[in-house]
Amino acid sequence: MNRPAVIRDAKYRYDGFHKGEVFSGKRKGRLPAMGWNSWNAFGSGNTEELTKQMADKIVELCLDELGYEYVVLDDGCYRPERVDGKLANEERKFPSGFRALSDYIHSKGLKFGMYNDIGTNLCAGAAVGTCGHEKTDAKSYLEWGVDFIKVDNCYYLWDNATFSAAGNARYTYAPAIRELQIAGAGRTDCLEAKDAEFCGAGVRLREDGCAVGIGTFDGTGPQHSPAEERSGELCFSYEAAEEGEYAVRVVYISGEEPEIGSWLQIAVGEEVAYDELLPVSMGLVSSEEIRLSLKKGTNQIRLMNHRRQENTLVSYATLLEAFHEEDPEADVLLSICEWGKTQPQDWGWKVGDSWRILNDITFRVGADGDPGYGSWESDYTPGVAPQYNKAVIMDEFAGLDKGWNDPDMLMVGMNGLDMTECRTHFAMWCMLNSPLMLGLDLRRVRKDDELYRIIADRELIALNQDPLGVQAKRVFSTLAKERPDTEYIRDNERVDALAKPLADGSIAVAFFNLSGKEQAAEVSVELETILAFIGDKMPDAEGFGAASSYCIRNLSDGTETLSSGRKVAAEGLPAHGSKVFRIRAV
Amino acid sequence: MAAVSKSAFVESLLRLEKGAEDDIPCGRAALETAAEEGWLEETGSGEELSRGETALILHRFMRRVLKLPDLPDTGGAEILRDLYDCRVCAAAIAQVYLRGLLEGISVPGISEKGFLIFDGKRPLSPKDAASIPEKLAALCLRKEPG
Repeated sequence: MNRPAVIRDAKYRYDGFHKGEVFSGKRKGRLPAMGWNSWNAFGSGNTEELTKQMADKIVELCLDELGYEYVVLDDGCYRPERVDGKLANEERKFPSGFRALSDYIHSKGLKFGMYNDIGTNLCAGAAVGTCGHEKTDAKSYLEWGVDFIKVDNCYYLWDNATFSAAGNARYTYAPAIRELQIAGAGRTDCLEAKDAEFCGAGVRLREDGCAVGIGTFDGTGPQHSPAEERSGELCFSYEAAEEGEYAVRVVYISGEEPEIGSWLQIAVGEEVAYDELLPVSMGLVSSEEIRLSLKKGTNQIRLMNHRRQENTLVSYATLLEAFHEEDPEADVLLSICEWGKTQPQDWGWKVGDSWRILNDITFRVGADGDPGYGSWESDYTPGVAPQYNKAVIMDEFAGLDKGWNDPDMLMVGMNGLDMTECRTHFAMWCMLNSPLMLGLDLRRVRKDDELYRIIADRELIALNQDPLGVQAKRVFSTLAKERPDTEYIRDNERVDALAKPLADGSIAVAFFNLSGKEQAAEVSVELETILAFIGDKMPDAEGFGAASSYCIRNLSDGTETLSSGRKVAAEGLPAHGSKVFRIRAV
Repeated sequence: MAAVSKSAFVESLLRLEKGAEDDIPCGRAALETAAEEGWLEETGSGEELSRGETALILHRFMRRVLKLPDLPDTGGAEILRDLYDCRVCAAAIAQVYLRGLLEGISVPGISEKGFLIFDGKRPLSPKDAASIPEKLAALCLRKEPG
């Protein structure tokens, strides 16, 4: 495998991302997954014995009755090399093998999940990535009775992903482009980059007249808003005197770094006419002749590179399709874990049930006897707040017919977060329709202790698992300028209000104090504001809005008040605290 | 630059753990001993030691053998521009950097902005390898925060 796949089918193409076709094997209608994952709890130190104990605890604590069902082995469970080309269990940590463990978990009425990677190696180094082994691995996973697979992105061949070659950036960006020469219908035209339209975002003109940044920018870090354009193209509007074939040459400088790569796509409208790695250049060169079919009149010629997204979709789809070919009835949930690098909210819904939106929520995972460490905030991705800040404006990408944004696994129970923060973290993830993957050693939990009351909060879980399947929308923020639902706010000195429509016609409203200071004063949001934002998703917005009074249930303490007022309010929010209400019309 | 072998480095840590008078396992035996004690996990199978692998080994050695707790506040390590490039070793890199066991590296274009890099893929230098046991011994002698 020495180059990215040749793409012949439009279903993998960027222009098809907004078209509602999913791939074979992708099931729609799933609510966010709930379960336990080994990574935050035990890191690579997870074992068969620990996993069985976690499954036992899920049942003992009746967490299964609340919806927690997947028990997922993350990284660290395989032998470091394949055996006869197949995945194999690390015998010291998983002596009985994966089938036996799967049977044990299934015997508890739970479901079994595992982990792999679309690259050549897993993130912890084992040379057992699925790249090139999708059919073999799908067969193995089905033989083991896997119900869930989390698939990471380390060592990926076609992007500068973690541990991948930095030079892979040559695949993910177009070269620096100076001009486009078009010959046909008896004339030759030279179109300079400086006169082109810079479509989307990220494209810029250098002093040498070359356009760079033609591609999809990396979403792993928290710098860029997910609600704005995520890719850029260089677009030329060309008047062809007559219909026919035209000879095109691109004057470019190649590279293999972010913003300047070597892979170029040329499309006329949505028809991709060229999709190749250009030869390395030392300085400005002219490409080989490329033939384009143009119609008489105006043609949109797009110089672009959407391969960052397309290649990654191909890789995940290859695995999904391998499962489907092996067993068309197989029901294996696919959790996409490429950390938001390729803006998976655009394409992930075609193949997966959830997609990570950022790099990890913590890099200080636990071990047996060590709860690990989580934080509220940081300048990068570790922390409750960075993950929430991005996920909260991604609601329109999620849904029952698509899948779910994944702000990473829960850190409830880790050192570094107090109980108020843990509770707010859990409430946020419930409102965001995030997968709820516990990441703590459940042996530390006793029924009705403080940790239990957070992770077993029926009413919060009911919001996450509400059959209407709509992620909450941010309808107010003390720091929003105009659009609380789409502004990307990273300053945590604020209070947010989110609203979520529910299947029974009621709504949930949550107030989150992101700040490290108590918010003593009242923060409120009008019902009319809420209806303006989420009314289109409610079963009966008109009926709800016309009610003369409302029953407001405080999910934090179970109290209910009857109100004929038209606002929802919270006061006395502690630092990093929250209040969540369920409101029904009376 | 001559590469530092993993077995040689592990031997130096075992000398620190077990004392110079004891029989110290060598070569393959050293690696097996370290693996049994649980401080070689997630390091590659190659013999040449990288800085990232060194961080992983040292972090586990500090916690499991020397019983040194993690420094709770790792914000100071975010001066390393590539800290989070290695998801499985980010925590280890932060700890070894903050404890002064391995330094950050200046790079033109980055250091002018006040950052360094760790460069986990770079081979461990013999000079760094030689200085680490002494630095670890000094850590053990200092009073550590609880």
